[in-house]
Amino acid sequence: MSGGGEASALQQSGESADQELSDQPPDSSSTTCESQHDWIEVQLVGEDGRGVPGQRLRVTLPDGSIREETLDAEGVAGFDGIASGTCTITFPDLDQDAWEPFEEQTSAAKPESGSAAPPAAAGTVEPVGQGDRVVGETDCVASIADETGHFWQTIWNDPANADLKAARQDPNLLLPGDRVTVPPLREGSAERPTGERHRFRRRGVPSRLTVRVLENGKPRAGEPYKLMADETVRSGVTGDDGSVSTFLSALARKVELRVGAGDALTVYDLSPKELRPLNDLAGAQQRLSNLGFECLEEKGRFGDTTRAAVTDFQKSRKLAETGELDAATLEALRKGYGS
Amino acid sequence: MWMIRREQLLAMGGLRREAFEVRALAHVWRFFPEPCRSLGELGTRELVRRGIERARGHGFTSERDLCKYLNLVFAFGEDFGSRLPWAASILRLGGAPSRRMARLYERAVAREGKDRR
Repeated sequence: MSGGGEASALQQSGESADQELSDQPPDSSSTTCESQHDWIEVQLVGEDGRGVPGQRLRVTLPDGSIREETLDAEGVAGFDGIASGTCTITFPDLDQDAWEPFEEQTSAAKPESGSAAPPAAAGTVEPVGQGDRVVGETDCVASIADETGHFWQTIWNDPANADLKAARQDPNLLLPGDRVTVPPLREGSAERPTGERHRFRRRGVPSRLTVRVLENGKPRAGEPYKLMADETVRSGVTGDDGSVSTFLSALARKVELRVGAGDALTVYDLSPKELRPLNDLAGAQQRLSNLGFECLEEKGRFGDTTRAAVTDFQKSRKLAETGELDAATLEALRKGYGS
Repeated sequence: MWMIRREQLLAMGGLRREAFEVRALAHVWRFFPEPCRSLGELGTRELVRRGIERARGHGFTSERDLCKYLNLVFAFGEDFGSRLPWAASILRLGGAPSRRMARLYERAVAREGKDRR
């Protein structure tokens, strides 16, 4: 449809609607709706400042009625035609410690790798824990927390998971078959006035992934990178130490990192959540292979290839060339790999 | 004391709705006379009704937002909400409908002259 002067007609017709028409539905009773002219919006963002979609929002309005809506692609939901006053906001599928008021200066809480000394030697490691949630191949505490509406620290520090925490030391390094206790959700709420958009942060989601890219032991510094995880793409330039640090969903299954351009382009297939504990033989083999001492063809079995990889690694680190995954070798692996 | 039964309230609501349609018709004839003339009286009234129903389907309920939605229908075409990507993306958003309409309208004014059918 078109006609001369729609440009100004659109503006004029909009101004006319603003001035001449009610903000109430045409079939509403004016006696009950005169005071129902306010609004409220809520946005939930992640640690990266981006909207968190799909979360259920519940708002108790000033008149005591309860409304529910699902957050849109930008993590926003809201209501209008409501009475002015104070609303009670809650996310029923999130634990009270999994969300908080958004403040720009708040730093992202991220699972840190454990710093305790590695065990005396690598071998076959048995699952631990007594919880109902059995750890799968690609699970870590952050992914379980993301799935279940928790902040990762709530799960990791739960007394029921004390033996798991003591055995694994690092929330990113669970063993498939480990059992995790997921505590029940505790409902939290926040009182907020109408007539504003209120922002909240989903704590611990997404997670931060940090990778150092080395070539022959030297950092690949200042090179362009593109990191692809499921449907997420992040790009940038590697740091002076060859590092790539970015937010990433703990639920991402496949992660690919491309570093460099042209002939120098290298594609790394990262599977951060498939990394096993260091004291597990397969975990040690994963780290060795990632550092250039390939032995994953013997994953879980200590054969000649693994022994040769261990010996070469020990030689590169000026360790005694025993060919065994002893304490000194595991410590060097932990330092060299970063976890 | 006056007693008003539920049926009477519903009937009053229906009357108010019809009264709004009459005002909306006058509004679109005033600001969009050319497409209204092309459609004729009956066609314009039908488009207004369909437009109001579509607007309700997107969650708009106030007279003001319904009327603004009609403005967009007459400026960009009945299917603007699915045909124009910027409009579709805003209509898919959550949040308070009046805020969504404000965003939609602001974008529409910026796009005027570019996306008309």
